[in-house]
Amino acid sequence: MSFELGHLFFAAVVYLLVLFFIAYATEQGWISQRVARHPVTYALSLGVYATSWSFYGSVGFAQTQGFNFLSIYVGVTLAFILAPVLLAPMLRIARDYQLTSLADVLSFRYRSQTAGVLVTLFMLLGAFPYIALQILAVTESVQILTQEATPQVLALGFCVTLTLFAILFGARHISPRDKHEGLVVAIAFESMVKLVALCAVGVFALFGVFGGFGGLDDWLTVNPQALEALYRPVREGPWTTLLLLSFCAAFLLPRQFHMAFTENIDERTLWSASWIFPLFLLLLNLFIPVILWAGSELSATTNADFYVLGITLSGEHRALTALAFIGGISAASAMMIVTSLALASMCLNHLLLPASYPDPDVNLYKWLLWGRRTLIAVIILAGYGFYLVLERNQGLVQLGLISFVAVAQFLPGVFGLLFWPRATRAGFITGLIGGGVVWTLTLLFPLLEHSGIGGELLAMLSMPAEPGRDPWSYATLTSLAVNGALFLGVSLLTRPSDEEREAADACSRTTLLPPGDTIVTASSPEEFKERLALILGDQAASFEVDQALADLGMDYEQRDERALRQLRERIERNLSGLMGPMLARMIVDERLQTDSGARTALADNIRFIEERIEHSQMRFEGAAAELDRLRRYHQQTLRDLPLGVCALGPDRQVLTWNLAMELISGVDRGRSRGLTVEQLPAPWSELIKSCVEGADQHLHKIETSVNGRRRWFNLHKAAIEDPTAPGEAGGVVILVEDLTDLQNLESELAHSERLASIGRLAAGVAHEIGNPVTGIACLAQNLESETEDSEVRATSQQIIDQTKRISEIVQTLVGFSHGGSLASEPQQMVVLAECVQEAADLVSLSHGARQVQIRIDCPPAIVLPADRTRLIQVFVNLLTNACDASEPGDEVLVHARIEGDEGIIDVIDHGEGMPEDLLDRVFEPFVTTKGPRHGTGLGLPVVYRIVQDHGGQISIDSRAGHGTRVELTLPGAGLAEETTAASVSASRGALS
Amino acid sequence: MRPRNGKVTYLDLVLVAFILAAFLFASPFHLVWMTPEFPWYAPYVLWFCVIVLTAIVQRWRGRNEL
Repeated sequence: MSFELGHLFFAAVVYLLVLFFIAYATEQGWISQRVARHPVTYALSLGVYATSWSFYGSVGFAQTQGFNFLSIYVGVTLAFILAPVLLAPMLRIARDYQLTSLADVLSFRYRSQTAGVLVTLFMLLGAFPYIALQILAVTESVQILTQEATPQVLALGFCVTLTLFAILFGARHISPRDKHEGLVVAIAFESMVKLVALCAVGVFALFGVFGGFGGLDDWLTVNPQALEALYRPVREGPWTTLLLLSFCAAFLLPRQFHMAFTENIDERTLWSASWIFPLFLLLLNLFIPVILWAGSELSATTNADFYVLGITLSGEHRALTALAFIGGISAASAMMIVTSLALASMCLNHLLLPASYPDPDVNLYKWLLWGRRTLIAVIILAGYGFYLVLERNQGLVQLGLISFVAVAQFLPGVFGLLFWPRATRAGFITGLIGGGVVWTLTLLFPLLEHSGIGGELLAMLSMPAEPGRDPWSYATLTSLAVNGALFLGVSLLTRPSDEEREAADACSRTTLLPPGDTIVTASSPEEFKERLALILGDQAASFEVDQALADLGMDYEQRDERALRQLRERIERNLSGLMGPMLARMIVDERLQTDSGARTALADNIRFIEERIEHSQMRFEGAAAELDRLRRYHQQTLRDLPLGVCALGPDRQVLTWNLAMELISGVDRGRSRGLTVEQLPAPWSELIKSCVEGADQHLHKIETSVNGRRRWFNLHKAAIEDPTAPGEAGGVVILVEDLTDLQNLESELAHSERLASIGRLAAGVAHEIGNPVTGIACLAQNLESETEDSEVRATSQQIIDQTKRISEIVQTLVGFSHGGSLASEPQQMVVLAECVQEAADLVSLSHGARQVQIRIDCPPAIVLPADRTRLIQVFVNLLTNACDASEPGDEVLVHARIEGDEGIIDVIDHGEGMPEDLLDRVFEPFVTTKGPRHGTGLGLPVVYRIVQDHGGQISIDSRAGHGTRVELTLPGAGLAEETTAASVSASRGALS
Repeated sequence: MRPRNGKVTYLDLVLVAFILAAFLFASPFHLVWMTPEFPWYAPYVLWFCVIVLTAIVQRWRGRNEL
């Protein structure tokens, strides 16, 4: 069975088009973000690890190295178990500082462009054999299927097609910083294709060749040497070395770093990937031994590296063969696309840009975009060149392992990045060069020498492993030993620069101080633009400043030093994502200089330190943990203090604004911190300013208006000594005591006292006036009865009327003065509606002529405990007032309801209302709006007294010209049935 | 993640899982089970157990420390 070359090429292109459509559909939102950002999608995208080596080469590797082939995947499992220790910190560093490749990360950590260049060059050298491996696998697979010698031009065509797709996938848009969700989904899809294809071939091998598990067992019983051949190499071969290499490759290979860190959207997906990705690898490798044995059983004509195709060919299953071929294309294309993208980014940042930075007149983004596209093409074509010069019979795995040993050389550098802040730039560079030289001599030169390149010179320089010795252990251990020894030794012999120390602290998060205790000399975002335009060009400068402002939620009016420093940091990070950390730092340092003499605001530092402590709390141990606990205790004490605390720094910025202060002022803690006193909202700005600037340590009973309410405060201040500079003033702490409630209570007390005095006075006056008035009335009656003179009788009658009025006033005064003493009389449950009705009847009698209608809306079931007579008095007084205020024909409404266990009664009229200035004094005796002959001003005070005696409350809402609403709240109210039931229940309880 | 009160943390479990996996696969102990006396799929079974252990640790973290 054979295939037409044209058909295969067509199938490959169609598959790649499908892949592109998936990426495009994701970017257009046709595939939901739930799918695109799902942990399984992310974990499958990491499956780019499995290349043609895994798809085809694992079978060949299993034939020569037995179960050693599994170590390439078990090592990855070990690395992903350590995700929280190893991968998560790297992800955070890459994300926080917008680092898009390992070269970016290591050049950032060691603050060295040289380190970036070396890492990039080494990555390139390590990747070429790997890319060549993919091309080799594809061309060989085509050769097997077509039974023809594959022309070189086909390999070139494959490379050109992949270049186009790589550009379409990852270098289509101007902004390289964006995550390529489309790429992630497409690579995840590729992983699924690989898995399905390999499993399909495996199932065919198991059931189609052996007839099932029983057949396989029988075959193994007959061929015990097949099983022995799997186990023997593990006992003799480089199992542990391969574990170490794959452990490193899991996150250091350019494509792995790109998918795991650069394209990661949510850190939590990494946690899930720590088991989903190894599970994917397990499933991918599950059928490898079965395929190997099936190839032996069928005596497949192909090399064991291509048994995946070979056994399907012998079975004459064209569809399965085509699926296996597509699986191989999938494995190769995923690796080449992602690797070329990752390497292009590295080359751009660390080789091209430092060597030839574009002129500011050139559109930077277009330049970067075309630079990246060109680099993708160059990298893939360089891999093709490597493929051309390779010895063709080189095993697929051998080529892949060369790359694995290359990337393992970054392990010491990563150790310094994550765990050893003392590691220096010199140590890293020396170690990398040492390890790289050993790698070149022991692996690269022998490979080239075997391919007939380099002639005598290369043969002389090559240091391959001695025959019979395991070449991988030899090369790996020697190169890592040299690398590690130089890294450690030189790091210990040299001192890290300030820059390196700062970067090491940033990576390990060991410092709590903000980086660069300085302020920016540029005074506005506009000035940022102008300065950056000199090097980035107008368009790029404008876009970068806009982007950074948008990221931080700031606007162009920002002038605050703290905000401008944040803006500078954000611009540096964004530029780092665009052109690498070193160049970004150089540009920002050159164009957005800082004033190193100026100190950062203390408020900023404190906030920065607190945020850092919150983020790194898990790292505290021993004394540090105890101190942190003490800090939290003090912080909590300060926070929960019932007095408002406001601490100001030496620059008068708010450092502390506790919970009580938040409640008193209504100003949010997060918003107030960092503001200067002048920036605080009114009236706090003036209040605190006057306290800080005044000579007095204590300000008592300061009256102010907060949100239209009168409030009273005591303010106490004390100077804080700067703990870092003894003797120098570090700021001021102000305690704010809210006296409003106390003040209100005092007013209430004074009011009550006034009422009591008036009551006592009234009682005395009533007693003293009562007797003479009675006498005058008697005399006037006598005079009236004894005379016939009509004028005298009229005068006598007037005297009698006036004495009656005096008597009424005196009676009211007596009633008012005795009001309190009546409160102790027993109260009983009264029906509210009856009381209101009785009062309304009484008032109607006296106000009937005025034709004011009293409407009662009171449920008859409402009952409450009260002195019935006094309650009627309350309603009589209120209704009298309401009727007096109303015009003839108006309506007075009495509305009652129950809320909880309180009865709420509203007496509403639509009369003339009361002036606002009178409202505060309306419960005082003799305050009235009625004319001199119509009101005594004692009605409402009596009501107030009676309601208070009943444990209730009264409030008045009135506006001149709009009527009055008096609201009574009386406790203990209920509905008649409930109350009865409760009483019965209470009685039974008492009896039992 | 709070290393206090002697409680087991996520990091502790991760280290336990790693040490167990390293013992099974990276120590000379792997020679004990890498023999024809065991079925050919024995390495896969052990590998699967390690993956399940990792998944359990992750789920534990999800329940206790998120």
